[in-house]
Amino acid sequence: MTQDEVRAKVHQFIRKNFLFDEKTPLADDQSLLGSGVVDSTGILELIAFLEETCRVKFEDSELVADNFDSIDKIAAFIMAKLSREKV
Amino acid sequence: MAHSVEGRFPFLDSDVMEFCNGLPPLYKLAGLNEKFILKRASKGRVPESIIHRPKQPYRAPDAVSFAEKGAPAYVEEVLSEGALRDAGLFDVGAARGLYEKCRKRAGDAGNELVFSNTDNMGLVGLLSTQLLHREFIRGDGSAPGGKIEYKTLIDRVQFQQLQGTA
Repeated sequence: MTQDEVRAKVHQFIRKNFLFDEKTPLADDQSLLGSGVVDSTGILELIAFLEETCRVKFEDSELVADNFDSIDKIAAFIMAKLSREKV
Repeated sequence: MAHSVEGRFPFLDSDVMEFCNGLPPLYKLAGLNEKFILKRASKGRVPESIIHRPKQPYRAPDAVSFAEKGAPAYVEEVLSEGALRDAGLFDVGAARGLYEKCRKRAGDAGNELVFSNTDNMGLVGLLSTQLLHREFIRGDGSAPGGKIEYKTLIDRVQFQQLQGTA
């Protein structure tokens, strides 16, 4: 999976699972928590989705807001994690 | 009190209560500006971001009770595509999306029935608005058990005070 593919999948999931519509603006660099699109329990839904879709397992220490606060950050974090695991 | 935590709530102080009871309603609710006098009094003492913070909604009961198996039949009724379209207040696709998501999460075996706060408040807000529309815009306000009777409730203390003034 490329970083663009991860970004697109996450974008689509957030729209479908938290916004429920096609109209509400959703930028890849916007703060998901700050803009209220995803709340603290919503983050858990997002993490469950990422673990299933990207076949990754997060350590507790990785579950910090900074890794998940925007679609761009999530995609970059997943790619870094996947490349570390390959080595 | 050596081994316990005691909660003392300043807004429940009897002098504060008495003072507030004597205030004109406008001081407490100026238009839609709630806690008006409290906000004025807090200016300079509490950060502006807290004074002007939007209210955090809490709507009871928990939305799970409207999404799980055995939920009342009226839920599906007022949240149906037709009823949502008829009221015309919500984006039908988005409203259905939220309702379907909650139903799915409530139905998933092994799920701990945790709805995010946003979804939880969203579903209860959606449902109450649709019910209000059904009862008072489309209907005549008569509840299933008959027409609602409005009552004025007076407690014993108030009653004694009223008798004293009569």
